[in-house]
Amino acid sequence: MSSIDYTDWLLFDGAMGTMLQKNGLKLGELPEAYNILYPEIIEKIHREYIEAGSNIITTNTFGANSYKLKNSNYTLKNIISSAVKIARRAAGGKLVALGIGPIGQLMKPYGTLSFQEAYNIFSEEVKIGYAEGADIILIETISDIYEAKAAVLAAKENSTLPIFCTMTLQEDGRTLTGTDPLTIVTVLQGLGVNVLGINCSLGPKEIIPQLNDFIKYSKIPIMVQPNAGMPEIKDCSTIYKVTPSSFAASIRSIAEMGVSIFGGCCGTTPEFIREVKGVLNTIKPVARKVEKITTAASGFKTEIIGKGITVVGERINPTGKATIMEALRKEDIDYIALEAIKQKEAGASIIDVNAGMPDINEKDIMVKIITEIQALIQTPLQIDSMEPEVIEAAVRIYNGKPIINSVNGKREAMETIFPIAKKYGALIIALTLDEKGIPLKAEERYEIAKKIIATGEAYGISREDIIIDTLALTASAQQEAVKETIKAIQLIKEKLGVKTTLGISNVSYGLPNREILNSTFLKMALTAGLDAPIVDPLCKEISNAIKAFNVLWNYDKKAAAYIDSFNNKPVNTYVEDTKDQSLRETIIKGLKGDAKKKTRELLITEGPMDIIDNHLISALEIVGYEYEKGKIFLPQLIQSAEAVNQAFSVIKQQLPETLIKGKSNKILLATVKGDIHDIGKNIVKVLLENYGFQVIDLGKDVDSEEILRLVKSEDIELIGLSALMTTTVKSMEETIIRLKEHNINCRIMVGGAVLNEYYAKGIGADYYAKDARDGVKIAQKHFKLHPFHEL
Amino acid sequence: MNKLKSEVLRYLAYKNQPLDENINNLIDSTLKEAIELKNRGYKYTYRAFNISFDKKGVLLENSDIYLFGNDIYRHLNNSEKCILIAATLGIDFERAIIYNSKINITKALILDACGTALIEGVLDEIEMELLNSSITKDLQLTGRYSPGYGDFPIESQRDMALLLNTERCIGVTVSPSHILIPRKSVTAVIGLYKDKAISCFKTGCKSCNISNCEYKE
Repeated sequence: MSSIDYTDWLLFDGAMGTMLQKNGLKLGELPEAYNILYPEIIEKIHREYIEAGSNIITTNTFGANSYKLKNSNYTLKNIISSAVKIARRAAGGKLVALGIGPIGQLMKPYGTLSFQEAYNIFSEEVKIGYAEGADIILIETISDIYEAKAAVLAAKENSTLPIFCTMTLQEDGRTLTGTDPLTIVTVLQGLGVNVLGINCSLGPKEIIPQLNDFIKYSKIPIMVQPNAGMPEIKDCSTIYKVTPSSFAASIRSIAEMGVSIFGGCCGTTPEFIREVKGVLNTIKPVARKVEKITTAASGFKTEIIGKGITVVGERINPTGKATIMEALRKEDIDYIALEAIKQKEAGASIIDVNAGMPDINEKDIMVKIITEIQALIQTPLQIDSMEPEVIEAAVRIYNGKPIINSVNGKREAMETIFPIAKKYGALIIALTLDEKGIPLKAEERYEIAKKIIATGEAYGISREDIIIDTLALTASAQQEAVKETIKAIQLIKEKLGVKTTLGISNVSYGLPNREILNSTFLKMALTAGLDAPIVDPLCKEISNAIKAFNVLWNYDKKAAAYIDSFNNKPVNTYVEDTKDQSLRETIIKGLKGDAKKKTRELLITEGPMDIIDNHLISALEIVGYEYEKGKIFLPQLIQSAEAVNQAFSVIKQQLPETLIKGKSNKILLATVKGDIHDIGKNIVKVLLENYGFQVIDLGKDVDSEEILRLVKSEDIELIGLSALMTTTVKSMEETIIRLKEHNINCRIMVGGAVLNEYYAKGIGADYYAKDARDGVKIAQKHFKLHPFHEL
Repeated sequence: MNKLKSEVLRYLAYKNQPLDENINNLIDSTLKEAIELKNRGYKYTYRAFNISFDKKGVLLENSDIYLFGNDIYRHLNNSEKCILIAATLGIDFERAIIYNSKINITKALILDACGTALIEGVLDEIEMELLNSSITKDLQLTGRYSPGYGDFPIESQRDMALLLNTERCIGVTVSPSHILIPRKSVTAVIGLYKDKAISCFKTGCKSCNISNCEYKE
């Protein structure tokens, strides 16, 4: 093996699949089987590419993973070992890249593949290829950045080889799962790959416009492997129309933009590589001017910090917030996810997540919260914890480039946090405090910032990946220190050229009308140059201050967003003109917004229990009856059920907690392993909650072990399982068997489109629920009570 | 009421109940949103195969893959070729359903039904495209038949996805339980035959023998 010289051109080979088809591979046949059946063909193809001018060849292992090989006659070890051996033999002094393609399954929450499973699958491949003597790990044709992350970590943690990673973009400028080029650069570069780029899907001409952000922001070499044009379907075959010479001409244009590593994907042959080689021989690599930016990213989009105000939502934090504390204690991840959604809707560009409180497993809960929020919204997340272990677990599972909140000037903090930030490519918040505490004077805070940045750089973290928090002290305790925070922002921005963040709300602690102080402090800090205020975006004063600042600081051009926000009242698609209606009628009509208001009004004159008995229950009975009689259809039933839950959320605040908690009966719901259709289960949940049952919802694709764990820890008496497909009813049966093996004292009700009474009994269920309403009846019968009346 | 909306209602098991303004508006606005999502994200691919028949089933030529079962055999019996199709509304549609499941289940349910109606609509569009393409010149088209219908095994999803390279071309993969993901995706087989006189095997609701289905047209 020779070492890699990134200052010169690197030329990979062209397509393997195309060549195999020319050599007799049938459609649907496993290309990797040729490593065993016809090694001479594979070796011949490698040699042809080397003769054409490739200095790196890729092993025939694109689909060699344990998922794709599951039903084949070959072992993973056999396929990959042979592939590397053949390539090594053909390579002579050239380099051999271990080709790793996507696993072939979409990851959670869309599919059923977890991040850890993906990591394990990639690790197996890497270990075999590394042991067999590959020189490079080439992770290619990836659409899902989360899958790319799993592959890169597997490569990093199981080998010492350089990692090249290419993703595949569509003509709309995103991957099939929705990631844009800037986010690809941000996330992959952060993860420490050696080379990144684009391959497949597009021809060389179509790739050119997609390269702009790569060229502009990538600090590492860029690689491009286009198809031989866009695929065209011609009767029984797919054809690519770009000729080798026009392919090479486009590669020349791409090379002139600053790309230095090439190769070909679908449809390319040794002739293409020969032409490209000819072109590269006549030109020299072009140096690029890379723009340095401070970024955080979800798996889908990147927030550039320092261009306008980046609002960081602070609400997911138990400190001083009883509802968040309660949600964390109950592991009510849905509630916390809703907080994230609300903040996003209110204009937050980053969401801070803090799950630190005593007597909970912070690490597990943090991972669950991150997993849930990243599945629902595309806003980048800020991992906020005092515990390095929690931070590492969270940034590992995150699908983008997170922000770590935080490091500080203490030696120990830097020694534990910087390596984590470096490994996972996080942006990191640095607090200007050290062993001696928070200094009073701005100049001293500046000194700490300077020290942190220098230490970070020693760990290989560039200064644009550190944002400084100059720390707000409370005006009630240290009034003279407040303006030092503001001065420090100016000083640090000017002298260190880094971006800044600041938790605003602390300033008003202990004083009345905190919003007034907070919003004034915010305006002061923004004027001083604060980039990323950490605030409550749902607070009117705060959001107004930001809106106004954006106009006055010339961010909001022509005040367009400002004007829009006042003109454009959200259009209400629901009819909510119900002044004369009773709460009961409001619920029957399914008017969710009004249900809350009406309940609040009623609470002035009636007790919470009376409202439940006289209004909610009777409305539910009417709606349920009409549904059974076919007078209304399912969406109307659910709409009413959701309205009841809205009313109930208001009432809950008035009821003593012990009354709600002590008497309600718990039901555990899950969509079984392998199945991802969970709308039916979600409907059952809403209805059960209507009737006062406490529902523990484990979600979809739930492992029987997880169900078992909760049945024991929560002392569950009744479980509801759902499965939509014939294939997943099998999994339902396995789950039931597993539960019964453990002799647990609980009953199981099942539901789903392909089930019926007979079938349900056949797989061992205790009850069959034909629809959500039936589920409620079963639950009531099982617990031998009408929960509300018992209250 | 337009055809699309009545399809959506059918998938919601609607039986001509009076639609109050509230739910009607929600259906209309959700359908509008669904159409926008579809237009931004739908993708499809197809490919023709010459076919031959033997004891094992229908062999797709130039591949080593069979379509198994009596029903698909009968469906293609008079055909000389078939076309394999895969289509999806894309992952953003899936995301919208997941997102709404958290904040508005009624809307999520309606969006799900819109997705089912829209993906069928995409297949109808593809069929129109095929009718006007050279692939079907001088040939008649049978109805569409999909894995999971009759005794055409759901496991064939995997073969069809492989042959059409759906993972790379349109971002569709098959889960270990043979579910197409993103969920609002469909694969289908259409036969191509010469003789106009042949009345072909029926498909759709008419051919199904489940009598009490609540989605029946």
